[in-house]
Amino acid sequence: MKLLWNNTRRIERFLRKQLSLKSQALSAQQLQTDPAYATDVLAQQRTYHLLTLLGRRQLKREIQEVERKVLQEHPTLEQEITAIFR
Amino acid sequence: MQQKAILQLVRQNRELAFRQLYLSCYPKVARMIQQMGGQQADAQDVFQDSLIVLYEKVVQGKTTQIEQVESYLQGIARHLWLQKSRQQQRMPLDSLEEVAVPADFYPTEKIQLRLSRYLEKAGKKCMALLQAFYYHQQSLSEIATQFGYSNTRSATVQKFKCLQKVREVVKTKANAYETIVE
Repeated sequence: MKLLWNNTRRIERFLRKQLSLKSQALSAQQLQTDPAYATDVLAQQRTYHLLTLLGRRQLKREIQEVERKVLQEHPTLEQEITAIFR
Repeated sequence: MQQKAILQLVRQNRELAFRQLYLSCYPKVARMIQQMGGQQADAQDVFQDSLIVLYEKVVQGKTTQIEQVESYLQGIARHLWLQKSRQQQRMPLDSLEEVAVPADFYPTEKIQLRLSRYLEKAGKKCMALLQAFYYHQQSLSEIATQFGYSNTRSATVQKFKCLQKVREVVKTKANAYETIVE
C-alpha cells in the first residue's frame, strides 16, 4: 500500500514541478517509455479536474443557500431585485 | 468594508463574506444583467458563479488583479453573462472579452449529473478531505485539526491514500470519464 501512495505522491510532485531537475527529467522520460506510469499520470490529472468540478458544484449549492437566507432576512433586497426586472 | 478585509473574510468565513457581497453587489450586477438582456434567473445564476470565481482566486492567492472587489465581481459577471449568451447564441463571438474565468467553468449538464455518483465510491470522508485540500486549498495542519488526525504527517498520508483511491476509480472507469468530461 505504501508503495502505491508513494507513487501517487511522486506523480503529484511531478505534475506540480516540485521534483528536483533530475527527478523531473526522469519522470518525463518514464512518461514516454512506461505505459503503466503514463496511465497513472493521466488518471491523476483527471482526478484533479474532477475534484475541481465537484468543488464548484458544492460551493454553488452553498451560495444558493446563503442567497436564500439573505433574501429571507432582507425582503427589501428581494424587492429591489424583482423591481429591476419588472 | 476594506478590500483586504473582505478578501480575507472570503478565505476565513466564506458564508459571512458571501452575505456581505450579496448586500453590497447583487443589485448592481442584477441591473447590469438586465441592461444586457438577461432575466432575473440569469442574474441569480451569474452572480452565484461570479462568487465562485472570486472564491477560487482568493484561495489560490491570485488576488493581485483584484483592486476593488465590487468592480471585479461586476467584470466577472459581465464576462460570464457574455459566455452564457454565446452558448445560448444570443451574442456574437467577438463580444467576449478576455477576463480570467476558467474555460471549463460551465460544464455540461451531463457532468453535473454524473459527477458525484462517479466519485462517491471513494467514500464521503475521503472526498471531503480531498476537497478541503485541492479545492478549498486548506493547509494540512488545518485539515489535520478538522478531520481529527493527530498531526500533519497523518493527514498527508491519508490525503495520498484517498487520492490513490479516487485515481483508481478514474483509471478503471476511463471511458466513463470521457463521457462525463468531453
